[in-house]
Amino acid sequence: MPVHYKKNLATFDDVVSVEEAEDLLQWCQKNPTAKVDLSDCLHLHAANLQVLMAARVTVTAWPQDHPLATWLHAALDA
Amino acid sequence: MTPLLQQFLAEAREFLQGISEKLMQLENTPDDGALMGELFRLVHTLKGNCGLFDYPEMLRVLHAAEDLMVVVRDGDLPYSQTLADRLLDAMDFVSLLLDEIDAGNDSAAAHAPAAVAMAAALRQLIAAPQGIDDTCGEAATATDGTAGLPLQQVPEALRMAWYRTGTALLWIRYTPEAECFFKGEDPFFLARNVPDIAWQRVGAASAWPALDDLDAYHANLQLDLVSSASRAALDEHFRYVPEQITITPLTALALVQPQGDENGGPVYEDFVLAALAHLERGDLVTLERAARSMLELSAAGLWLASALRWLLVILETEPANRAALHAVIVSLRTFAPPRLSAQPLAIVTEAVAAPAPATSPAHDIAATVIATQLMILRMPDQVNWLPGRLKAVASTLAACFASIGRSDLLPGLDAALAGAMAQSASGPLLAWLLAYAEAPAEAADTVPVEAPLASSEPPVALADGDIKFNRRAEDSSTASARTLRVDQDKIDRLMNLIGEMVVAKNGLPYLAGRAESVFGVRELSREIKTQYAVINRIAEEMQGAIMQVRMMPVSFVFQRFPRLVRDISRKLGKEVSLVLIGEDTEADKNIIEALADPLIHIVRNSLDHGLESPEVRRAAGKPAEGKLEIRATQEAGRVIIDIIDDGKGIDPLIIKRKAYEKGLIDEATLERISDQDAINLVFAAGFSTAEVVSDLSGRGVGMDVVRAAVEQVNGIVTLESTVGAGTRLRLSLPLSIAVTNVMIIESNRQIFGVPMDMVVETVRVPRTAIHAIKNHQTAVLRGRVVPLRSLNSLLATDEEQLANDEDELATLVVRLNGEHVGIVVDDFREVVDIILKPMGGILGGLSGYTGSALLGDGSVLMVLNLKELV
Repeated sequence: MPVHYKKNLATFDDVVSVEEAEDLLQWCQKNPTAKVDLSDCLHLHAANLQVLMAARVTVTAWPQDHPLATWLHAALDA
Repeated sequence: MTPLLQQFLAEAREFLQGISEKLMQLENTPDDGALMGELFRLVHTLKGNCGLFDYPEMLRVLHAAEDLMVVVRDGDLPYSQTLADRLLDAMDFVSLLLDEIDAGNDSAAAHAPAAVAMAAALRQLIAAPQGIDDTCGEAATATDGTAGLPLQQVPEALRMAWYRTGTALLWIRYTPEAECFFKGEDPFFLARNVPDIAWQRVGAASAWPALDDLDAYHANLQLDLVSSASRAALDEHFRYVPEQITITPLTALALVQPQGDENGGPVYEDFVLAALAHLERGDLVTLERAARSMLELSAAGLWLASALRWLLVILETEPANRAALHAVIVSLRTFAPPRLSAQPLAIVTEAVAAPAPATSPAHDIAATVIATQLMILRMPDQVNWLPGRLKAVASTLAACFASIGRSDLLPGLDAALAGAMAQSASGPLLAWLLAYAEAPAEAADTVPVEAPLASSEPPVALADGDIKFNRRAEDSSTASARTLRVDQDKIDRLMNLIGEMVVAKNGLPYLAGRAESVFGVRELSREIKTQYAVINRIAEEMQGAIMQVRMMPVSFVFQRFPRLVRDISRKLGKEVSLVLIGEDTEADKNIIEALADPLIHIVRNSLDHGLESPEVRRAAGKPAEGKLEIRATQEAGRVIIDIIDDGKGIDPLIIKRKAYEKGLIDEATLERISDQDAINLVFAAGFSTAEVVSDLSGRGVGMDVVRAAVEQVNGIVTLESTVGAGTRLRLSLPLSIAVTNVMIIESNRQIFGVPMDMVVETVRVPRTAIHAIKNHQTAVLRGRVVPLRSLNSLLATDEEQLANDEDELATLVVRLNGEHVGIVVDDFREVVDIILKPMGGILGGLSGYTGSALLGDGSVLMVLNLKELV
């Protein structure tokens, strides 16, 4: 499982594929105060990205992968 | 190349041929539903096959063509000439791609913009709802230009850095289509891998719905990127989704976008006036000092501070750009971002020369200017500088309208301004401007149609088809269902083998002869002859069967004529009806292939020089529509192809004069030459009737090349023409060139072959019947004077020709260029079938011989080329 859910914190590991988007969305819907830890994330599919954007989740840790972090700041900081 | 791909290429060409045939037929019977269904099926299958491979450009065009065909088939859109033109162009484009794939060069990505334009052109024809969801994506790009870009989102420092370095930058807006996740696309991944990203932003295409209503698999993203990669690299990168991106080159001055807190409104009038005065005087030093001190006094987050920073940057990098400086200063008054002329970044011009600017840049800019003025007018009226603002708006609009050629609007503008001034409110001017902006004014009408094309690469000229993709269909045949596709090399190999078999079997009679004469076993000799008869029969049948395999219908060549005639006659403004007769006449593949180019040239000639324009024809009392007939028939082992037009014919007088002027004939010939011979002069090398040279004919092959090509395969061209009534060109070709029938002759103790189709008769002429006229020997044969040549002298040997016991000379009468010539030889031998091999190597340069062949006894027979010798 590339995404681990713990109470209101989701940890993204490695590459998060398109299949995760549905679960992620349901989890976000249940947890209005959702937080994500992206430090070990290498890539996430655009479907997941738009769930994160729409849910306005709080990012507790940005990816260590620098280009990805730049992109995610560009998407989620707004 | 995999076998699957090879098969796809071969089939695709067949489909293309089929599609263009169906389109041609539909031109005559546009209401034929069955035909339409067939056409749709072809396009559909071709698209399906294409989907197996990785050719997004081809797939895109075919998909659009298929969509179009659905609408046409369902009767929602009538068949039209434009439709046929676009579809044919699209098929030519596909054909071009196929050729490139076949040639193995992978430059398909370079065609991506052309493919998008082509698909857009096809979809444009679809008035029905299917087209809308795709075309609106294109329409969105219409309001393009840097104006619509959210440049202010890019941090000011970054923009200033870009401005200073002058790097060529492209703004990419990538809006993935809603269903893209279901196609296995990951737009984020694609965007992340864009080369040389300078800045990026991810936003929502439309506002996010409440989380409970969100559909995770309905893409709602909008990705904006700035990249310093080349346009070609970006096209390549986005080749699968070219319709979902817009690429805009960033102009240097578009980067100049002050931003920040307006600090309660424009209160810097003093500074603006002073700065403008400095600028007017050209006192940039004072201007810079003033700007700097003003900047020190202002808080960094203010709009004013931002504008001043830009002012300083411009002063530093291009102080000569007065217009830019002026615009930035004035923007302190209006808080509208300065609208600067759209010159690309200095360096950009080289790198991004290809992307054409919008077709009507003036209109685009005007639209932006007007939008800005609307924004200004909508600001609250309760300010004491309202009159100044109104006047500024009015003068901006006046200049704007003047520059797009709408001076007729100026009186209305003046009246609206007067009204607004009187009421001290923006209302009247705003109302007038809104009315203008919403009216379907001419100023706006260029946008929806042309802009989608203009926004990408310079598109293929679709409307009038300036760029035509050459259609080639070598590999297609009209063979029907139960066919076996065999590589031509295999058939050629069979052909060579049977050739050797024929030669080998000819060895048996020699063997029989030896058995009898050398070994004296008569019985064995007879048995060998019996066996030979059996083998001979089988070999001949086999040869016939293999020849059959190589036979192709002439329709292979004919099928391209409807399109050719249609295109050329349209280009020339002539009306031509093409009649094809005998398309299923068959001949050897080599013959048919050799025929293709000469025939095309002849048809072009007929259309260009032969058939007159409708007016001329009517004046001459002929029907306006010219008739071009191409007829193939089989006649005694030869294929006869007639190309008959009912045009103006060839005037022998003109030909004679031209030929004389060009020095092809001398004065004496000019007087003497018959009309028919004069017409035949068009076959002379270097002949061209200069006044009729056009872009269609008079280029490439001339009639002499046509004749050479036909003679190459032992064919004969004859030309008959009647002035005012038309021209008939007849090509007579052997059915096959694989086996040659030659007569063996003996001269100077050697044997030679002479092709049988040249031989008229063999006679023995008594030495007494030979007369010398001038230096030439002649004889009267069947009432006509025939010049005699001795073969020995032709071959430059000194031997006398041998006569027989009755002192008669063996004379072979041959037909050369329509004349009879007697060749004196020593003796005649038998006639044999041989496989003629052209001479290779050093011997290839001997023009006196057509080639050589192996005889049954293992000796080599040289076949003479009498045309060259005599």
